[in-house]
Amino acid sequence: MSEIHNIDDEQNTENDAAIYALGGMTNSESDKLKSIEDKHLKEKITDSEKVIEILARSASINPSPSLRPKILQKIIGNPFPSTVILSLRSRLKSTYRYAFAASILFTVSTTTALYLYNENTNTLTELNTVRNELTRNKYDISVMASKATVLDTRLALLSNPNTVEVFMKSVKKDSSAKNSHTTVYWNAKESSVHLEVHSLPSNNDSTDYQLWALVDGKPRDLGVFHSTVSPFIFRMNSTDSADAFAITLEPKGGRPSPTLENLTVLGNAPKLNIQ
Amino acid sequence: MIQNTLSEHDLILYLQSGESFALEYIYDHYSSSLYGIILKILQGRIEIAEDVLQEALMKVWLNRELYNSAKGSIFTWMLNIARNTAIDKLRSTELNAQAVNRVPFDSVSIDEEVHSKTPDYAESANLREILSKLPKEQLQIIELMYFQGYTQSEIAKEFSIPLGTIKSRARLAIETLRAIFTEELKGTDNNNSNPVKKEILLAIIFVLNSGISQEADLNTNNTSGLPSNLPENHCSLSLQNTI
Repeated sequence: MSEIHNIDDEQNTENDAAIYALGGMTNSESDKLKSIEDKHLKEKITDSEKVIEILARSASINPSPSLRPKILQKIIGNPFPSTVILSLRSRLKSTYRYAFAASILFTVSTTTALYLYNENTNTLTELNTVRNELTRNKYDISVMASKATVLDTRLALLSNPNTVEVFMKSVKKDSSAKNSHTTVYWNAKESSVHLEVHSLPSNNDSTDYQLWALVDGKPRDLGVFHSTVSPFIFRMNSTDSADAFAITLEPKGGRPSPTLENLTVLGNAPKLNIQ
Repeated sequence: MIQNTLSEHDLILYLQSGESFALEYIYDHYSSSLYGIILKILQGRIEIAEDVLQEALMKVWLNRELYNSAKGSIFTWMLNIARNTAIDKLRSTELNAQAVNRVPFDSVSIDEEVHSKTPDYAESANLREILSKLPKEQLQIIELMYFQGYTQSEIAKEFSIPLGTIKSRARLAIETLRAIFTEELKGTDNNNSNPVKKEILLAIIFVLNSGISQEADLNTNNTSGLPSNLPENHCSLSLQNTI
């Protein structure tokens, strides 16, 4: 008798888990179910949810490619400042840093590295350097994590066949600025622009750097940034066309048009045939 | 396209610390799954489905701090957001005004027609193939409950089916789906060339793989193109009822 009872209980648990995973409960019913502290029930719920996940994964349909930039721009473009620093260092709680560094390095050095082996030997060399440095110097682990993130982002950008690299060199002759150089990763198809600062003279509290795209001879504002600490990759405002990219030093907050005498670096964009 | 593979653990940390990179990652790795379900719920209305995908991802982003991994996987959380948003839209006056038939399973249509009917809208071939394998009374529960948003009590009331029957049909539907997926998984050694089956297999591997490891464990000698750390014990755990 007790065995029959147990089978009934088992089925009831599985019934509830199935109804829950299929979204067939009212909010109060599902809240009630989730509040039950029963390990077996929780396992059954997870198992049912996995089945639904596989069903959903099997049902995948790719949305139109034009939707990606539109949606991302809508969600993260507007409420954010024009530049978003992709470094994790400043934002993460310090307790996470160690775990992050290890896992990011792991991801960088396996998955991504394998993926881009042929195209990115230079980056891979840097990657190995970072990995070795990490092993050697645990004190600097958060900095390494930050570098690894930048490399990770760079690899991700370069792995997209639509991304072009635009190297930007110094136009200044004076010693403090002559070695300035930056790189723009531009995906014209998705209109996305990322900027990596390799070397720029540090600016003061009253100035910002401003990135411009030159389109048919006219400058287009792609946003301002302040930090010149390398390596960082900034996500800048988008543009689907550009003949060249340039950075000027401007008063804090930037200006509607560039101050040409403060032009710092410049790079020509390749001609693209985008449909 | 952000091509790297992040562990679920890292993705959650990136997302909850507000990295826009995490949203791009989610878009690149999950949007097609969310979109497939949204499109199915909205019966192939592409324009509305695109708006719903945007709305759902907006909710994912704005509510990212509310996600709690103790309550389930991030994929299930996002899936629920997408499904609820799509069902709300389905029920909105805008769609009702277009005379959407929310009830395809009236007393007449619960017959062979359910299986043979080819939808006149975009629907994943995989989904269609999987659903076609379900007995009709289980298919009815999945369609009404998951894709049309009926609660168990609403189905009981509107279709005069006892609540206990609905519950057991829901369980059987999940069991049948699990059996279908297990079959796909067992069939891997037969060098499956059917692209639909391969996609289903990849879906299984994606889901089973996402929950178990905090860090990628990619074997460099693995040339199969599939992750080498497909967790055998995890498969048997999740799919144990039918193996």
